[in-house]
Amino acid sequence: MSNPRLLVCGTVLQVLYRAIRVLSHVDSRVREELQAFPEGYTIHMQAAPQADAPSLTVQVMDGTIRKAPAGAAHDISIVFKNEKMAFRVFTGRMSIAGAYAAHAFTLRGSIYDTMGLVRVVDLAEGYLFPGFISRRLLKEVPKKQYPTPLVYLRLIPGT
Amino acid sequence: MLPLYYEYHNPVKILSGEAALENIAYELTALEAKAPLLLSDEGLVKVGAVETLKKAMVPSVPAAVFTQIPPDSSVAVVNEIAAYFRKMNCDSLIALGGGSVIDTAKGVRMVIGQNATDLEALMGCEVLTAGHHIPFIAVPTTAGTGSEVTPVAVISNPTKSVKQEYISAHLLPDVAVLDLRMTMTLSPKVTASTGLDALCHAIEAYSCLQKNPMSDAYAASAIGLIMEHLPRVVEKPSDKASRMAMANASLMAGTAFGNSMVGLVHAIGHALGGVCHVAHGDAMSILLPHVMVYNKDVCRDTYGQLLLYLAGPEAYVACPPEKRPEETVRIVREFIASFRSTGLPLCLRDTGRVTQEQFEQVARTAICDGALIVNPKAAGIPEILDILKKAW
Repeated sequence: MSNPRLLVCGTVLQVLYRAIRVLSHVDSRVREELQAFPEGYTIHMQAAPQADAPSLTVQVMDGTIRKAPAGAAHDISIVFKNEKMAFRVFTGRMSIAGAYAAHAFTLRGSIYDTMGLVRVVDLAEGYLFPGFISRRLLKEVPKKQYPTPLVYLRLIPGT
Repeated sequence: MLPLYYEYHNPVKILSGEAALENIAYELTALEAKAPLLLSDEGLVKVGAVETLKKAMVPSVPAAVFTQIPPDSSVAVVNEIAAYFRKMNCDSLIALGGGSVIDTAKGVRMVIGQNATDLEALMGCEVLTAGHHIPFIAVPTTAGTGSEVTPVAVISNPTKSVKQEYISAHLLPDVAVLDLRMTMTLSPKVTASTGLDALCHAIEAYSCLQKNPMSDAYAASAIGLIMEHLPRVVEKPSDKASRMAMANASLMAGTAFGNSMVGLVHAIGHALGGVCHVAHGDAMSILLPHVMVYNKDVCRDTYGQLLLYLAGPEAYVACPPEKRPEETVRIVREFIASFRSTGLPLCLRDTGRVTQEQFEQVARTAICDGALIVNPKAAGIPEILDILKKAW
């Protein structure tokens, strides 16, 4: 894949995955949200409709997430309609709520369950983006229960 | 200011006014529908509305009729009707009723059109493809839900005590029929409750994150019609002009929120419906002022603009710009309270269906309602509990 926007989206998806894993251990709100999902609940996110677009498929297990095995059926699947909108979202220029309002993605699965995922992503964005971005991006910047630099440090594999 | 991007979609043909019902036969022919399944509820059978429709739609005749739709329709009811549709070899749908009947018909259309057997397998947002087109005519019997022109179906899942939303352009009916004969017999209380539901649709559509110039135009027009005609038709139920104006206001508000979605009032209202079975219009009229107070600090511009449509140009100009948001909330609160004499509950306690012990479950359900995502202000469980306590 040589599309720079999709390369960025793919990278951010991996960062988001690791951040949610870290936060599930250090932020009680993230842990509680994930614990509300049934064990093995599978969530799929994809940056564009084409089959080779970057994607992330995770399963909720023991109050955290892990990569889903290949071929796992998706309980909810979020697919962006085009890479430009996905790029805006993954680079902190558009919130999940803003993307929903702009019809930027399709959702297959329960809207009710997806709202929990939205809250988890909002919390992660509150940690990952600097204050001047998250204040513009989020309706409410969440109070941090753990220092952002340590979250970033724990994103590095092996730390 | 225009949003960065917006979409507007409403292909529904609108038949409004004298002898609209009599044109259903023509519309069925135009849609190449030969064997419609007529959906309604037992209440409408008793008041003669089903018979009125059947007489008006001649020479077309329903291939089958199903009138066992409950006030809070469910996934099981939708699946049952879809099986009945297939058994009776129907090819189209006519929904005669309020929001529950029309939303049920949308669910049936989804199941049949997508060649499915279970509505739950089709959950999602904007994910359905066109599928097999099932001609669909909606005839609303209340002036409030606007469901005849929205791409949204709200259908209960009793096992989870939630009202689930299904959103797709393929839920939009082909034709919406507004005919006086269908709303003339509504009681003043139901007229007020459903009319205030329409007001809530318009206000939330005008102030939520998905608002756009098209939805704003419909919302503003709906508010003007509601403020003028709802008091008249509650005072004098036989006022035909005001009845028709309210039917159109409801449709306009539906067009608005069908393209902008709603917000926190609906998120909590759906939860009150799912958990406590509070009538939707009652929940809307109780919650609207409280949620407007909650949202006011981030909605000062839009609430200020709404004063023009709620109170008219003289009152708008007379009010200093910095006081307009507060004046808007005051007028909405007083307008709702003016219908107290109809028996409309103005607080949750008066519904007789809610206990304070249920608030926690209502709040936990509300934060998972899709309407919350486009509310302009974040709201979690503590904030929703606070609103519920104030509405008690």
